[in-house]
Order: sequence, then structure tokens, then C-alpha cells
Amino acid sequence: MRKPARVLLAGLILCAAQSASALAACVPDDGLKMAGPPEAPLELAIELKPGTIPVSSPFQADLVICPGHAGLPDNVTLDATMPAHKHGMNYEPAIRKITGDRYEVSGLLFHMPGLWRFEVTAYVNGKPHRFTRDVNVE
Amino acid sequence: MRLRRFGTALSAVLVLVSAVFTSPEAAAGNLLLDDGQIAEVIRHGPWPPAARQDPSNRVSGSAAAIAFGKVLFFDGRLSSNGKIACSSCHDPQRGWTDGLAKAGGLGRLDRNTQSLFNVGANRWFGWAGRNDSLWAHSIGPILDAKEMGMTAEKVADVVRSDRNLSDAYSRTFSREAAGVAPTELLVDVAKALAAFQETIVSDPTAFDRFRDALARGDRAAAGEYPAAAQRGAAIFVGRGNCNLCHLGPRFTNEEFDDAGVPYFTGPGRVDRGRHGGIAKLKSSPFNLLGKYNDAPDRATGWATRHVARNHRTFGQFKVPSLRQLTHTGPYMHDGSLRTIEEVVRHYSTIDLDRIHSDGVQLLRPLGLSEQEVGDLTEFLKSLSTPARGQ
Repeated sequence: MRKPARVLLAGLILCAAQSASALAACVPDDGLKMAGPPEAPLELAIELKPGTIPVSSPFQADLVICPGHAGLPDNVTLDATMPAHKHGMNYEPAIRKITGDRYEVSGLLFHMPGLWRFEVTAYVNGKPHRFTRDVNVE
Repeated sequence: MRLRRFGTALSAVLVLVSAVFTSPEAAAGNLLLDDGQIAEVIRHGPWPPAARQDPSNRVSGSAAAIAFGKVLFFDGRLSSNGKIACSSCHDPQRGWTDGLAKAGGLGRLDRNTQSLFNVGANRWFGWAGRNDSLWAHSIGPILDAKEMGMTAEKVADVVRSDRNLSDAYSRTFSREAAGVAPTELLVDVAKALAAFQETIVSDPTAFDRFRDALARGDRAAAGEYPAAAQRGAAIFVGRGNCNLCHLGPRFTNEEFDDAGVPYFTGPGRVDRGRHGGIAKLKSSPFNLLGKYNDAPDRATGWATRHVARNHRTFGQFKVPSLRQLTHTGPYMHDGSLRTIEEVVRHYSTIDLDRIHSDGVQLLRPLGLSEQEVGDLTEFLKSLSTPARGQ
């Protein structure tokens, strides 16, 4: 490998490492990191308020965006389902942008105990990227 | 002599056997639930919950309002024929319901009358949840042509023209009824009625004593709960999955589901259940998003603001509380099941073709044996107090 190519490769590796480190640092301590596609240009975490979801009682959440090279999303949507029972929530949450990298979600209620799946879609330059996070509600 | 000696020996043996079977160790041995089931049972208490006031009703918890509401509740003049009071259908001697399959006031209705036991803790009111507060739900029957058939003006006339009622109104709301617009006065009457209904809280039951004993680790006291009811509890929190919807101290998640009960009410007539209830809720001037909500920031209206009126709500009805069941039959939204045992058999053999909700894999026939039907029935009966009025 010639020298310029080696420098370029090292630079790319460094950038990738710094980016990964930035993403990890971006997720708050009490946030739950969401699983997304490996090619997604950002990462997402969800912060629950309160930290433990009470069954059949309203709660809120914050979505924390860890932007990558493509920047912040244009729009974010959130839904939640119970995969075992194939149903969603009885309520439609409202999403409000607080800052560029943080959204507040209100009107959430999980009406049954068991495993629920948050499903967030972040649109970056019009392209949807889907993230999920499972939580157990007791 | 020999006989007397034999009798003495027999008595001694009986005393010994009795002592063994009533000792704390023996009673603890009667506890049939495993640790996981015990943990689930404990979630259904404690009971009763702490009293709480309704922020949307400024007279909630007020002694004057409770007294005024009680008088109104039993007053037939709140109906157009002067004979039908709230208590005509919500009779305290019949578990705050009427004992009929379907409700009737001035006319016949399509649904069963719901009991008022513990009604103050509801999130939604009515089988379809058409109201989001107890006071708003108290307005409905007064104005409904098939129930009490009144108007706001007529209710105002009743209160203003009766010295006792108008004095009680003044004591409760710190203003004279004569100066209050009819619709506003109707809302006030409903808020006093709600204040009274909030006091209808059932007493602890045999189940609560069992649950409390488990919570404090007193296995001997818990072991005194009947074996059949314990086996029923194990089904309820175990393979029956009943506690997915009938959860918490009130045995309800306060939401709605399709329980496989037909929703055709006659030829060409369908009860849309929750789907229709949400439409009525959203259009009601008395919902918690409106001006009659006394909470300063109307934060209590969050559920109405966010409730989703999606397709699967069609044919869904309220998940009822299971407390005081023995006093509140018949059961289901149309009163089609007469006994608790019939309800258990319904879920044991439920017809999945009748369930409208698409794709929801929640209800399956439980396939209970005869003994299990009896056990689950005994468990459900243990959620009631012996006397109706408690």
C-alpha cells in the first residue's frame, strides 16, 4: 500500500472510532439504546419517565438522537406494540421536538403486562431508518 | 368401663388430630401456590386503595357535596315522569345495579347496568367508555330519552323550586342556584352526584385477607384460604392469563377488549362498543378537554386527548372490575351470562370466530375441567364481600 492510501485508511479508521465513541457518549446513563440497522447514519436512545413503566398508567419518554455523518433527522415517529398479542397501544402518542437531538413523547400507556416493543422511525434526508427496543412491563 | 376408657382414648386422639390440623404449621402446609403465583397474587392489592379526589370536580371529597349528591341520587324528580331516580337502576340493595340483564329506565336499553362499586377510580365510564369523568357520566342518564328523559332546564327547575335542594346546592357550591345557567347547574348537580358515588367503596374480602397474609409472609394465615379458591387463583394468574386484563387491586386494566360476546342487538342493529364510545366522548361538551373541567391546566384530559379511535375498537367493551361480582350479575355488556360459573365456562370454551379484533392472539379457549371451572368460580366469588351493601 502506498503512503497516501495508508494515511487515508488510518484517517477513516480514526473517524469511525471517534464517531462510535461520540455515539456511545451521546446515550444518556438512564437511556435505553435502541437497535437499528447497521447502515443507519445515527443512533437512538429512549429515556423513560418514570424509569420503570407502570402497567396501564400514562408515562412519557424522551428520544435522544446521536447524529452521525448525515446529521440530525428531519422527522421522527414512534409507535409501540405487544408482539406476542399482535396489538398496539390504545393511545396515540404526541411527539414534540425539544432540541435538534431530543424529542419528548407524551400520551404513552401500555395497558397490559408483558413484553412491549418501541418502534421509532427516524427520517434522515427523507429516508426512513427503523429502530426498536423491547421492554418488559410488570 | 371398657367403653368409657375407649371413649376417653378416642377423645384424646381427636383433640390431638384437631390440634395438628389447626396448627400454624399445618395451615402453612395448606398453601398451594408457588412463589411466582404468590408474587402475582400480591399485585392484586392492597385493598382498599387510598381515597383520592377528582381534580376535574371542585367538590370531589366535600362533605356538603356528598350529602347533596346522596339526596339527589335517590330523588325521582330528576326524571321526566318523576319516578325514576339514579337508585332505580343503581340500587344499593342489588349491588348498586338492578339485577336485570339489560337496563331500563323510561325505555329498554341494549346494555347491562354496571355496578357503582369503586366507580370513582375508573379512567373511563360506561361499557363503551363514552365519558372520561364520573360527573360527565352522571349527566348522560339524566338527559337520555330512554333513561330519565330530562333537560338541563327541567333539572334547574327541580333544584331551584325545592328549598331543601336549593339550600344544599348553596352549601355545596357557595352560590345561589337561581343565578346559575341551566347547563352549568346540571353540571354542578352531576358533580355532587359524582362526589356521593366516589364514596361507594367495597370492603376487603376473603381474597384480600389471603393476599395480605401472603404479602407479610404469613403462610399459616394464607393457608386458611380455601383450597378450591387457591387452585382457582393459580389458574387466574397462570395459564388462564386472566390477569393480563383483570389486573391490579381492582382487577381491571381500565381498558377495552372483545370478549367474544355478540354485539348484534337486533336485526340490522349493531352495538359498536368502544368505537362508538370514543366518537361520543370526542364530541361531548362535557369531556375533560372542555370548559367544565375544574382542573386548572386540564391535565386530567390526557386520555381523551390521546385515545386512538382505530378499527379494532369496534365491538370492544370495558374490562370490568371483578370485585363484588357475586352481587352484580348478570354479567357481560349485554347481561347475557347469568352466573359467575357461566362466565367461566364462556372463557373455557370461547368461540374465536366471534372475536372481531384482527390478529389479536389474546383469548383462547381455556379448556377447563369440571373441577377447574369450580375452582376458578370459587376464586372469583372470594373477591366479594358477604353482604351486598359493602
